[in-house]
Amino acid sequence: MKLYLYFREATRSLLSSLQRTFLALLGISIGIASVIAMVSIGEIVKEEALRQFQELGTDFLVISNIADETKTGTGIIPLKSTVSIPRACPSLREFAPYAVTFSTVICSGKSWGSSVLGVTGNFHAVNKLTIDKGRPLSEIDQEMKNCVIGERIAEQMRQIGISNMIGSKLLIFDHLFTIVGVVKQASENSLRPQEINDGVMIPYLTLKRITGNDQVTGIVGRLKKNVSVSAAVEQIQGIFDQIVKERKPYIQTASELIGQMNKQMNLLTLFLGIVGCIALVVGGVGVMNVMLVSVAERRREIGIRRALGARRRDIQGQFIVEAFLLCLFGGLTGIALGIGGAYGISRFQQWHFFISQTPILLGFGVSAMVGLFFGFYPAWQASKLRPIEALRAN
Amino acid sequence: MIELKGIKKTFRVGVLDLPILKGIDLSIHKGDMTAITGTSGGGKSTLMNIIGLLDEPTAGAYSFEGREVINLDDDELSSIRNKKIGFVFQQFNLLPRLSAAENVAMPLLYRGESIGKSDATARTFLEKVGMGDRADHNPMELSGGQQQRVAIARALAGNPSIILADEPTGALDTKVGQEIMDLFLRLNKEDGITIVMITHDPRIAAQCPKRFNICDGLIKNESEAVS
Repeated sequence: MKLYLYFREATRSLLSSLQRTFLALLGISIGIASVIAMVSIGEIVKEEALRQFQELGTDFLVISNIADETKTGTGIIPLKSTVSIPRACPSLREFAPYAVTFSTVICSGKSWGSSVLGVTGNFHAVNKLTIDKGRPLSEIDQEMKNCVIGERIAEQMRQIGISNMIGSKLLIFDHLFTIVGVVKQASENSLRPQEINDGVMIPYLTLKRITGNDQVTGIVGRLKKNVSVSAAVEQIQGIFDQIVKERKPYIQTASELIGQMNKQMNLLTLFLGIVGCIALVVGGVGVMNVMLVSVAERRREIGIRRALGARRRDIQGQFIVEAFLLCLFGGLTGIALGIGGAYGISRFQQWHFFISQTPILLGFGVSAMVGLFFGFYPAWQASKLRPIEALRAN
Repeated sequence: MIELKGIKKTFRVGVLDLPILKGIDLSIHKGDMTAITGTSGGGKSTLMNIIGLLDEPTAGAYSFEGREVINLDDDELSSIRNKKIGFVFQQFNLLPRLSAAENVAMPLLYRGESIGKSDATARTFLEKVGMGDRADHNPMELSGGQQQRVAIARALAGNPSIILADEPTGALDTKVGQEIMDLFLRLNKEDGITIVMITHDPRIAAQCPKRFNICDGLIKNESEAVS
């Protein structure tokens, strides 16, 4: 029953000075909104960053730093010595060595410098590439002069007026190649070889025959399900230690990278959350300020209530409820504003918008806490006023 | 009913101790209607605040209905103010955001009574002071005399042992002041309500059967009117 009384008195008091109430609400709702928007954006950015890797699959791995591009002959691994790797490493499900070289690519009298990838038949599948037009290279293309072009070459061909690229001829290493497919732009910042988007893919054996170069630049692969990633990495490392003595290849796995990414992004979310919390504390101080002014203005009222028999805790209760209500409504508008803000920013940045319950629960919890915390001191001060001094105030 | 012995009150102003009450002995009995008069600054209000448990004396003994009330804790003092004492102030001191009935019900609500019950009681007492038709008005919509009637209803609603009125007619013109005084006299005569009233108005004081004159912190003369 008393609680009802506190709520009634608090509501009346808030409604009686709308300007003051509005200012306090503004402060607290901006604070809550910033917490929610910041934390949501942190989560959205994290999802956005992880999406590119997750699309690639967590079982993806890439082995690089195998070939020494400056010296030929020393420490190189010919294709045939990689053949033993899948057998020696049972954790590997798929395995696609590739070689990267550079060549001039000529088409209809125009020439461009371009990366040329020698790829195996399963390269397309292991990298989860998407074909835009035509078909990917497969096992039957080996030793044939067929090629698949990436987005950059496709764009350059479009610029010289070739829109139907399938069947067109390209001159690579002074040999005539037929374009059998165009791959869609693969997302960047992923572990896939960068040259997929930039260059031309030709069958590995064709590359070997034309250039005489049999040096594996890198290997992409996929792990079996439910195998320990770190154990597999160690195993592969062990195999390479036997094949190449001079250098240690880098082995990067998608799951490890996603882990690192997660850590970084959580840090970002934490940082944004802290920034939001600072705004919230400022809002809370605003509530405290408004409440202190409210207590000072209503000293006489407090005195009257004390004379009528209100105990200290009655006065305290009324003011805490007042601060609590301020923060509750501030919190509600703040949550709406925060979600709106996060939506607006992700719309602008073309991120996939979503809202998790964490920032909303956080917003509610924090606003209630702020209300009680910053409401407590003014309420305590009000309750400590001596009745006689309060009554004498004007 | 109220027994004050050697009440002293000293205020500290800067480095000076300013004695306001220098040893007041005073008894008020059930059914009394007492006026406390005196020059302004003479300590009338201070004495009233001490009687009303709003302020504590520096020295002396105070017994309220046989109970020593010096050194009681704040909750107990609040409870006595709530149940045993009704205040009427010069400036009426109604709560501005509440209606007349809500103002009158306030002491009952602080006592823990239900909204419905206290509202009914409030309306009965507003009726009693002639304000039954103004129960739902805001204090701002009422004249000074009407506000003071509401304040008296509020003081009465808690069924207190004593009503303490600090210059209840001080902010009203003579005619309205006399109406308020008539109301007090009627409540005292008909319902036997104990009233202590501070006034500087000799015409008001003259109507009270018992009078104390405070001068320079001491009771100068005590007079019992023959009624």
